[in-house]
Amino acid sequence: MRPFDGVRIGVRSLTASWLRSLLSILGVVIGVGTLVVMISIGEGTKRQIVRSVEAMGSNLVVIENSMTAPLRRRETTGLSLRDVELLKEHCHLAKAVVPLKMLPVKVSYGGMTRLLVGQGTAAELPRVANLNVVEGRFLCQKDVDEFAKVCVLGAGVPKRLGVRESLVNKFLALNGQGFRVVGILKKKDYTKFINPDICVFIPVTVCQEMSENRESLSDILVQGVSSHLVHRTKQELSRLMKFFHKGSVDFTLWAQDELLERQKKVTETLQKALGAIALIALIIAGIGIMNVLLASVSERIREIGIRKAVGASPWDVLIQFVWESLLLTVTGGILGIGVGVAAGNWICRILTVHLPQAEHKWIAVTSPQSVVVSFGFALVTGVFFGLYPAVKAARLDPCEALAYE
Amino acid sequence: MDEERTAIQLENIEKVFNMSRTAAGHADRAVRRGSVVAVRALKGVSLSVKEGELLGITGPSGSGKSTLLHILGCLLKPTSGRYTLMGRPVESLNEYQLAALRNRNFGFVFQAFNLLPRLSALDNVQLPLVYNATPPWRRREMAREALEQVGLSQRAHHRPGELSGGEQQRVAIARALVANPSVILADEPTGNLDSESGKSVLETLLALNEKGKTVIIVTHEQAIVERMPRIVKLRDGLVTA
Repeated sequence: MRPFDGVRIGVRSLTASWLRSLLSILGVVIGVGTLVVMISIGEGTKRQIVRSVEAMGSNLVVIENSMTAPLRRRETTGLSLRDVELLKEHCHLAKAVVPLKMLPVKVSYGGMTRLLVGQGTAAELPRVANLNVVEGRFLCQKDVDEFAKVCVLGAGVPKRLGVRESLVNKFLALNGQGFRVVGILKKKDYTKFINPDICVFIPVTVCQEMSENRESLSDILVQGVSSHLVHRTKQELSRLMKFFHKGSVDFTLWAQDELLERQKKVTETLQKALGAIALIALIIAGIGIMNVLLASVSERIREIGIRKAVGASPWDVLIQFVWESLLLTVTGGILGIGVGVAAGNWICRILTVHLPQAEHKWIAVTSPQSVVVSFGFALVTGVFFGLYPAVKAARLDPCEALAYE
Repeated sequence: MDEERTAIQLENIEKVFNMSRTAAGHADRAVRRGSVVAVRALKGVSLSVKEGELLGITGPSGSGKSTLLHILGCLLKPTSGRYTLMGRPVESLNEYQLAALRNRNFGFVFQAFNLLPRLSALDNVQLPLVYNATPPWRRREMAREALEQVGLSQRAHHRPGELSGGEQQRVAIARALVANPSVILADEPTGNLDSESGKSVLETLLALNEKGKTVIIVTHEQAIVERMPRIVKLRDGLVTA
């Protein structure tokens, strides 16, 4: 039998029971779609991480408040402004030391309220995190020292508040307290620590006042004097921090390459988990295909007998059913890729809007590999699950099949 | 001479079916082995058919006629005995060789027509050619010729459901002869037809025989038996005449 005949017979058979075929294809669409979404979002996340961490510069070391550190003691407060001052004074390899304290804030302006990310920080942040002010100014040391109720908005904040005009020198409420806007940042997708576009920057001292856990900082960013000395800087910081905290290791130090590695691992784990879900979806789709083909074999026993009587070999019958299975999976696979690409972008848009606290903007990247992998999985599923019904059909005895009522 | 060449030679063919007790109808022919009953459908049939011969196989219901026809058409393998087709032993061939043999050498006409209901008459007739790699354009041509031979070229695009019983059986005959087999095997070809259609189908089969095809017809209709130059009578799995 020629392949063309296999396809023709398969199409005819599948269209004869189109609803059943459609439902089976739907299963494959869901399976392949999930796989494409999973791979493309994972790929997008990876690229974003690499891009942003690279953009930060390779001389950056992050001291992270390690809440789960086993040696954390009750008497320590974690990272504090005192650490920032001590590091500025004693760490000779540090060019700049910037505190970061994250605080969820309800931002209200003109009747609109949005939950956004407040970042308590200091004047050096733009230099350390490569941020640029597009209008007004950033926070200054005076603001920090004098507990000034001023704030700088990320590029995306005015839009979220439904404001088109400039907000500089306007007042808005952060958790019910009045703040004057002194500047707006230029649009920037991502840094490891913050998504500046959806952040409201306030003096770290004010942020501490507004927070329940007043002393503790989220992170301390240390810009080293040179990217070549980043590991020495890290060692130095570790030594000093241990000393300041009386031997307690309630912090974690990350250099840029380690950050990259850690983020990649997190993304990979996420990808694997989603991949497992997608594979389960594909297996369910495969069972659906098997079900359709088994029903098809049962309904067409007499047809198989007729085909065998006129000269179809067991292989011809087997390959005919495999073709049918492939047609279901190829159709489902192509549709699934389209649905997956669309769903990936849609999910990213939803996540970016509804998870502003996330560290980065979500993007889906559909690479040729993701398409090939998803489609390949679909084909393997189709052949694997189509094989049993096909073998069953091929083994039918022609006489028994012809006599089947 | 060509007419004298032996097309089919059966020697002491036996066929035993292992069936469940409920499925085995004829207790007198059954040998009980636990819950499975061995039914001896053929008990040593020997038969020789010449090329171009017209042969009728007759006998009462359950005598083994259809089993014999299925063995002749290589749809069934005999349990024992020797089967030689055109001088070539058949009983040792595997499934693939038998499929190729059926495609090249035999055309089947069944009592229930056995056409595929979703296909047009033309596509039904093309079916054997699908399995011998005939190019699609040539297939259509050959199928049209075969339909013309049975007088149904005007009904090529009708589905079986849109044809009368007689027309369906003539489509089945066109399918049987499209691949130009040497032997046409017909199992009760007029059994499901009215007398007029039955007569027309019989005439078509006889005409094919006149053109040189070996035609073997299983029947219990007296009208057909009378037209057969040679009759093999079966009773209880044995040739009686």
